[in-house]
Amino acid sequence: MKKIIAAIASVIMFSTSAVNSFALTDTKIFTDTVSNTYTGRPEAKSMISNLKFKDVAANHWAKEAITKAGAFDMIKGYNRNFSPNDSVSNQEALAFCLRVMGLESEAQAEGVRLQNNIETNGILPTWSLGYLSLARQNGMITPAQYADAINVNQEDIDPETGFFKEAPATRQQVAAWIVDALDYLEQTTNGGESAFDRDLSQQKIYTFSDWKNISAEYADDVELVTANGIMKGDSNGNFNPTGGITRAEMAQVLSSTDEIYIQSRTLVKKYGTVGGIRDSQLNETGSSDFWRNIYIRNEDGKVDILQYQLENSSSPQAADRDAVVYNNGAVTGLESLKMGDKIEYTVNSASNEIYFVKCIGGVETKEVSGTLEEFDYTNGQIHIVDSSGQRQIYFVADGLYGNDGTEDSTRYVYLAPKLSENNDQPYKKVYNTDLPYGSKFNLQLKNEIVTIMAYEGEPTVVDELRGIVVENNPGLGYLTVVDNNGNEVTKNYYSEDMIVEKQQYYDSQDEIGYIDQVFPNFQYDPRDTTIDQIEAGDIVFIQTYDDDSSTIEKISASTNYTMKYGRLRQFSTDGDISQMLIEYEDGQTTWFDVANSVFVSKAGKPLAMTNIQTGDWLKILVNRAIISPGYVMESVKEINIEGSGHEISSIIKGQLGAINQLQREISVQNSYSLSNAGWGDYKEIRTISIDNGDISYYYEGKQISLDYAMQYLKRADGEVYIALENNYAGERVSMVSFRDGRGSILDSDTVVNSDGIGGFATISSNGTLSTDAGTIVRRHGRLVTGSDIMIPDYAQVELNGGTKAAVVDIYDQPGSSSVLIARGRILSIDEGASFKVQSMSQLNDMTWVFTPVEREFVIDESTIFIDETGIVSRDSFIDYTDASAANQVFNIIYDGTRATHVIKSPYAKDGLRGTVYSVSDTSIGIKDTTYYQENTGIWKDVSKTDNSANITVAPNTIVVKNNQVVGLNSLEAGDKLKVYTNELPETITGGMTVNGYIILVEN
Amino acid sequence: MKKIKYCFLLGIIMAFFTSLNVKAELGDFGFFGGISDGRDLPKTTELLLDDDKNEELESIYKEVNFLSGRPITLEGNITVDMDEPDEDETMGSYEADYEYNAVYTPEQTDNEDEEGAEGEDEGASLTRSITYEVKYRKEGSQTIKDFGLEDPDDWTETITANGQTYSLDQDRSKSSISVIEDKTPGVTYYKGNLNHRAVYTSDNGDVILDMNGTFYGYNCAYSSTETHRIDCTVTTNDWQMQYQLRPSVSMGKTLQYTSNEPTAISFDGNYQEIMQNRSGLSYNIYVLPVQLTYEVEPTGNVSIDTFNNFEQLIAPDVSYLKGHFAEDDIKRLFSMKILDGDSKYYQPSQAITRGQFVEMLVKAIKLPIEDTSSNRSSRRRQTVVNLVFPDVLPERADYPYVMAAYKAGLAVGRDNGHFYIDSPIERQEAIVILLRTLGLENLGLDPTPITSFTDDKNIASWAKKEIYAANRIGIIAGDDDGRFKPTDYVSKAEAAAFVNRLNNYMRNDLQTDYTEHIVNYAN
Repeated sequence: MKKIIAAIASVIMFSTSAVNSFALTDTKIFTDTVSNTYTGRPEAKSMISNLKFKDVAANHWAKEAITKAGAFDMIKGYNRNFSPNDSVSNQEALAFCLRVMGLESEAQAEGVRLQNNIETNGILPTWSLGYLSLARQNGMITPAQYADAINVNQEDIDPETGFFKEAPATRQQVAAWIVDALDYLEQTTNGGESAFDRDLSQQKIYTFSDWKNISAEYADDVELVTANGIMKGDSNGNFNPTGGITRAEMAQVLSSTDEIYIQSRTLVKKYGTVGGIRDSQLNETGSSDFWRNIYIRNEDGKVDILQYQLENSSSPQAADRDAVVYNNGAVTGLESLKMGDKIEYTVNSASNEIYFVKCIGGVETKEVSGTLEEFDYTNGQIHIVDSSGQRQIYFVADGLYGNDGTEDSTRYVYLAPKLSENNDQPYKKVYNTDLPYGSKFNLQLKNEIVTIMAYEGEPTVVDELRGIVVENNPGLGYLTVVDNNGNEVTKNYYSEDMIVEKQQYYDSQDEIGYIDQVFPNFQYDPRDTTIDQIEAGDIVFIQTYDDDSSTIEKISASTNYTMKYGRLRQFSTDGDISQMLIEYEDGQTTWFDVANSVFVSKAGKPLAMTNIQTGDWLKILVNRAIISPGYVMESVKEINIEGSGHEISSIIKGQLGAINQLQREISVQNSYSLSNAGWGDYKEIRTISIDNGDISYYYEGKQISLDYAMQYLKRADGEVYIALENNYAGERVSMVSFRDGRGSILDSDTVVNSDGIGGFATISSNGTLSTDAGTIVRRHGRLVTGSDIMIPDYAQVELNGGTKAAVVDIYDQPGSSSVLIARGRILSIDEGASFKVQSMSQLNDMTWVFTPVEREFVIDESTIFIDETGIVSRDSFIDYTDASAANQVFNIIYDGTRATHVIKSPYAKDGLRGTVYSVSDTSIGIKDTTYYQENTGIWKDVSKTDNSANITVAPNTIVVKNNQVVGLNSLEAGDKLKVYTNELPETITGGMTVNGYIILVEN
Repeated sequence: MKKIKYCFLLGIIMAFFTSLNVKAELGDFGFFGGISDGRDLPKTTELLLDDDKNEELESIYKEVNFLSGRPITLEGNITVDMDEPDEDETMGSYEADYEYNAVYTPEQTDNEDEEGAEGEDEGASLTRSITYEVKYRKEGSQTIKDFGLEDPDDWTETITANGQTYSLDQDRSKSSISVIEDKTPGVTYYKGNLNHRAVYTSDNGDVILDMNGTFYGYNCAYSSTETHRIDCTVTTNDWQMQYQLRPSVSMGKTLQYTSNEPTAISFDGNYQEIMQNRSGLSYNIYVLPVQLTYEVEPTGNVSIDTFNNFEQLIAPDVSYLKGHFAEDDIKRLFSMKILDGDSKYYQPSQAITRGQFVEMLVKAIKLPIEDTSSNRSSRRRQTVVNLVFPDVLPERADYPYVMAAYKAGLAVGRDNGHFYIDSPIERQEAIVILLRTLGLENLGLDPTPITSFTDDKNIASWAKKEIYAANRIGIIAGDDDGRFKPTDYVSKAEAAAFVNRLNNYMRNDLQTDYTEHIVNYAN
């Protein structure tokens, strides 16, 4: 019982894919009216096990006949043996025929009756007694033959004319008895109507070579059985009338009578297809009766149900109702029927019991194709027009189509990419509106029901292989790709004998496109390239030569690029390759080997690879190839350094005021901001937004949560250090570090020692300083870690608690040394392009070094021209008319051969030095002023009492800070200046006013 | 709206999910490179109480104006009155009306030295009114919206700056915007382009402002962002300048855990949800009038101070999970009501069923839930429910969730049409459904790409695309041996982790991608 239910359950459990295979279902089988419900027979269970003969193999020629005859109770075996090759005796032949006549039970009863009277009648006790008696009663044997048969002394029977019941029956005798049996059937059933053809005119017997051997008394019978196809001759064309018959042959003969047998027994033979199976279980009384309804669409289009019942009573076998099913050599029960099986089933129309089911060839699969004409969702039919122009209509399996809503447009069908049972490709849901009507479809049908619909489209003209490149070896001339089915395919090529195209990621639009494939000489195609440009990760389409070599003829590639965002944690460069450790936003890290030829840019300007700094945020364009599962190869194609976003714009220190968790703000009391000149810009309270989720909080070097900070950090006398980074909305917090101690700052100085793990020393530091995770290390604007501090970085360090660095700020050592300033006399001007000077002096510290050689400077769009009024148009720099600049002297700021600034200003040979204390639009106040004594070459204080001075700034004054020409507003209090003026006052005094023409910031 | 109200009257709790997630709308801050302070994302309680959506939105507005040659930050407000595409129509049109008013008032200088200095700052002002006719059409999940001016009079604008008045010459000014919108189950993504040519007349002749830009945006239940990148050129008779504006406004909900200070309190610490808006605008000037070279900083930022709304979330009792790997994940999901019911009975080591997982996801992305209880209340006739999955019956509590997931294309039954609602879910099934909520399943280029997992061959072909994409956007990673283990069952703890990762993706990762990745790497 349990075993059977388990078997059924396994039929219900399908594979687990979302949409994979479809139930082969007659769409309306469950909803159509059921015309008949037939149940199995209680005796079928034992019949099935009886008919599983050990000595009749599945491929035995008479297997079906034996099974069918068995199902109709005509034959029986013994001990699961049928002994098919044993010959049939007369008494056996009579028994078989009487079973055909339906007199089995009568014969049994007669046998019992006679056995009980053996003593009185003096007859032979034998199993066949009842059969012989009924045979006599029905005229199949004569009373004399009967007498011989029951003669106790068999040896007394006349060997010539007697009837030996145990002698093998002759074929002609069997023919006669069969005819007798069929005659009986005809008479006892309604109106004598029968499928048994009584026409003797065919003279079938004369087709047998040995017809003369047929006894005259049997001639008509042999004619009838052969004409009706019940018996046949052998392969030599002999009927062999006096030969014996084996049990297998007898079974075949009996089985051939089934048409007549069926008609006479209120049996009906029907044909149909299993359209659906429903299992039910009745649980209410705890009996858990189980039945399976097998829905059959019969040949009249009606629905019949074959019902198989299992009853879970104490004696389950007795109550099971099943039927003999013959399925291609196997004898089974109804449970073996599957959806889609085509069956012949014989049922009793009176008792509605199933006698015999035969599977006719199981599922018949065929494929058809045609153009889609219509999809009839209501009836579940597809209409296609085949190649001969015929419209064909097929039922479509349930599940292949449906409706998401109620609209016509929400109706859909599932299409497969191709007709294959094990479709790797997923089915695609296609809405009615998107169905390609008029296009070619391939359909797979099982028993005339469509089970797969594949949109084939128009015929394939070009064979193309699509895949992802795993390896390209131009040296050896082969290319390996992984195709759409995940298989590796290697193709050879001859570099000079192929067309290669590659679509670059930045080049997604191509005006020539495929037309250039069709007309190769059409036009220059920017995608034309060489095979060595195809690299792992590319997506390619390949066409091969149509010959045995199948080498690549044409290949078209597109890049498979992805964008990655991350922060550079480590960087080293060696020859042509740089190694980069990238930390992604999610904290994962990857090493990349990057060719130094890879294009690097920042804010739209190209940069050398060596300009990438640790801590930079990078957008990396990666060609990503999954070579095999688990093996991903990524190669960097381009690097874009983030602009000022994430650049640490300021570092704040102060005492923790309050954390407002809900407004996401932190307030800092007595706060300062770090500049190159130390902590400045004091504010009582700064309120800083901590909006963003990616802030890290530290307490004494250990990372803490914001919640912890709120709960446990109070307004103690410790310090809080906050690193703020640039953001599109201004500034935002990147890192917050709480420390217990009081901070003290060291002067900016050069790092002279670094252990690479966070310990370092500067020239002026007293021994080695240490960093921890909470140390804010800003290196050239980027937040990095202590291990990124290197010799000879120039750093400003805030210590908090002994030698522990709270802040390390590394920046370019200030100076103006790399700005080149010269003074030259203009010889000629090539407008807007260049100009020549006949001689020039170059500013070197405090002296102008004269070089009497002609020199040319290039002008470009960024060259700035300045005169006494300020910046002027480039158009005014000409060497003709009154405004001619020829022969005039200009200050020139240049970079190689390129002039960046051309300034009309006086010869500024004298100098002052001092520290800025105030800046306005037109003047700068400096203190600690010294002036240059040209004759001695030394710097002297302007005054012992008042060391200030005022520098007047003119529109043609140039300010250079951090090696750049900047505006006056870039000067800050504390900047140390060197000022060049045309002349110093005759008497040098404190508070004097001087015209500044060139101002260099020295700190 | 009325329908929902009616549901409320019936006292149907389901309405929590059917109700509107007030999301940022396309073009909430106009299309002229300015920023607004955004909308307030609604609190859970608000969603339950108040379903009136304010059609007209007035926000604080800032815009940087360059007509005078230097950046001037104007501050004021923007009023947006915009209809919406009709849900039932596949095409149509509606009006979108934008009113901008902003001024710049210079600081009063009391420094005598500077008085009378040249170029005295006289302040600036902007009034702009523009009404677009928005024509839309829908195809599948996508909507195309085209903004255009029906009549030149629909755009009026006057700007004063530096003592000059610039008036828009309507006949020569043009504006065009086109947007494509894609609605996936959990997120709506959009992208658009804008082009304006504004011609102003002034005392010094015509000033022409050309703006062309791209914008990207998305909105989901937990965050929304819109970022523009607009290249602008100002042309006057005397000079030209070129600059780029990068305004970005995003709204998000952040979870913040707080432990309790008092010891004697009946519940553990809890999560708070903070609705915070971020509005920022950065600009780069590439070409300046040459005489301003040293006066004007070539880059700048403008932002709007926003006020955060917040609310407490339920403190679930998961004390029995103290120290469990997934303690936080489960606690968060109960706080957000993505997990429901008695938290004490959530057994992290047990397998989660397909039905439970789908219900979690549907709640996590706040898919609209259809009210099934109304069927029961209609007494006039018995409604025949058309069963999509024979094993998901309407009387089940999880029926509406499975149906919502099914309608959104998230949940598909297994092959014979059953949903197997009570069966354990496989990892690959879970990830497929999870990724579809984001609509990012097409990130894999191939229909069946190879994933980088070492057990790639065990991944069913129908799941590869989604697993590939999920790996690529960082929602899943392999185990120590690089395996994904596609057919393993998902435990309840793992499911909580998956859904939390999705939640974080919707809260944070999307926002980063739509703000910093666009703004910071701009050229």
